[in-house]
Amino acid sequence: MISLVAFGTWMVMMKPDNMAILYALFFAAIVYGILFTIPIGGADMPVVISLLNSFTGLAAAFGGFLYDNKIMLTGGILVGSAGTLLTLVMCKAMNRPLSNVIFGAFGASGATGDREMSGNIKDINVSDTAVLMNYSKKVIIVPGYGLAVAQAQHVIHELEMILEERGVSVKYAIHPVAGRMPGHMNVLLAESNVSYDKLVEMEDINPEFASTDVVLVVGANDVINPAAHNDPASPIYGMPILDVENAAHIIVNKRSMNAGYAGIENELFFNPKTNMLFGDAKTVPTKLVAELKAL
Amino acid sequence: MKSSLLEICYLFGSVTFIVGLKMMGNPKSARKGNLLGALGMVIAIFGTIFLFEKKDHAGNIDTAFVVPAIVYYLIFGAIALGTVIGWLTAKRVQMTKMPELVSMFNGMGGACAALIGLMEYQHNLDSTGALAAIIAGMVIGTVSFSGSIIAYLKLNGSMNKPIRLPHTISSIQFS
Repeated sequence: MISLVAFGTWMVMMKPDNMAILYALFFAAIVYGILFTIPIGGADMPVVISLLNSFTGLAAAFGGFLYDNKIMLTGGILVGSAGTLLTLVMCKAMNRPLSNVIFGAFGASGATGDREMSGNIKDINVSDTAVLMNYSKKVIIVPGYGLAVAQAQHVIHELEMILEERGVSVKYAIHPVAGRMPGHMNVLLAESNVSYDKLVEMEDINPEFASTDVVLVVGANDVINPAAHNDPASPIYGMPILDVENAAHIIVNKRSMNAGYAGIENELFFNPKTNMLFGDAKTVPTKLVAELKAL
Repeated sequence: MKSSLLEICYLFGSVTFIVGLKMMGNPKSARKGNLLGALGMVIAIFGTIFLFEKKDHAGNIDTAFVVPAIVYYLIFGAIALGTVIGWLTAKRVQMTKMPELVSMFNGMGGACAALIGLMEYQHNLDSTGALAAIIAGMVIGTVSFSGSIIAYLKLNGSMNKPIRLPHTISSIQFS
């Protein structure tokens, strides 16, 4: 990075009239961009995209300077500053400094994070889940990337409407870095016309878990991993999570026991309050809707 | 006259950007905010194409300067091509592929800034200030471009696991 800056400064000072040198700088920058992004873990991808976005804005603003073009300048500055702010907000949401995200401490400490998990995993079937949800007062749905992959946003909305009809209060808990891009879950659920006041941000929903009967986790993993609270060796230690373990029942809809994007085990699945509802994030809620209608 | 009209277009565009961005802060008005920003952008683009006047260093308008017709053909050809490609990609993309799309479009923006730098370098060798803007814009744009492509590949699953660079390479990042 320093050498890139030095190279650039030297070119500004010396003004070499030689395109080859300019191309050399160009390729150096390409290589730097690749090296910059390659070591960054999947869970940090939204942060990186937002950061790169602010870079693009900055580059456009420099173009605006060059052409004395005011709109290029305004647009560039807006994109640059909005991107930077978003990056910082997301870093705060994960409780990690930006330097930590960029210089890949995720990879470095990842190997020590694999603790031996003990305890039993309990299965639950669809009809038991339907009964449990039907007779509860308050249900919180935690959506994750799995929901997006399965395109299950419409059926989840249907599930929410049926439960609401039966007098169950339903909310969605949105973790700031759920999914693979900033605001991923909001966009997804907005597409199926989920009303916006049902989407609750992490800080607002966390105190509510204690008074919640059932938490339904659909395709989320790392954002509910209690290791962030109680395992200092875990790579996600210190990251604020959704405190789903405070709820009375936790039902996790997942395809398998595979680890999430951060590549670590989730001890929540071994919690006595947790029941696993294995299956695809689309077929399982579809069956749930059918069971609920039959009740 | 034309120049002042152009300035008004730019002012209008800037206002739509800011108001649009503000509207995107709330999910209810986000769609409208996005459209408003797009409208401002369209006005700014067409304003630049039709109202731009070449000035000399003293700021006087060069009335003899006429943009050759071929340039207009090229510009509109490029706009049409870009619109069709962008429209089709955004229409066809699945909701799950949204992050990839964002990353790819962002990379295109970076590439655009980098290309401006590559083109303008030799025309501005006499001015240190312009050169600094060119070099900075080009380097940052290029990093954004190649970084976004890698981000795209990673999201796409072509590059699934984070690759842990040996320490020597991560120190290159700093140096």
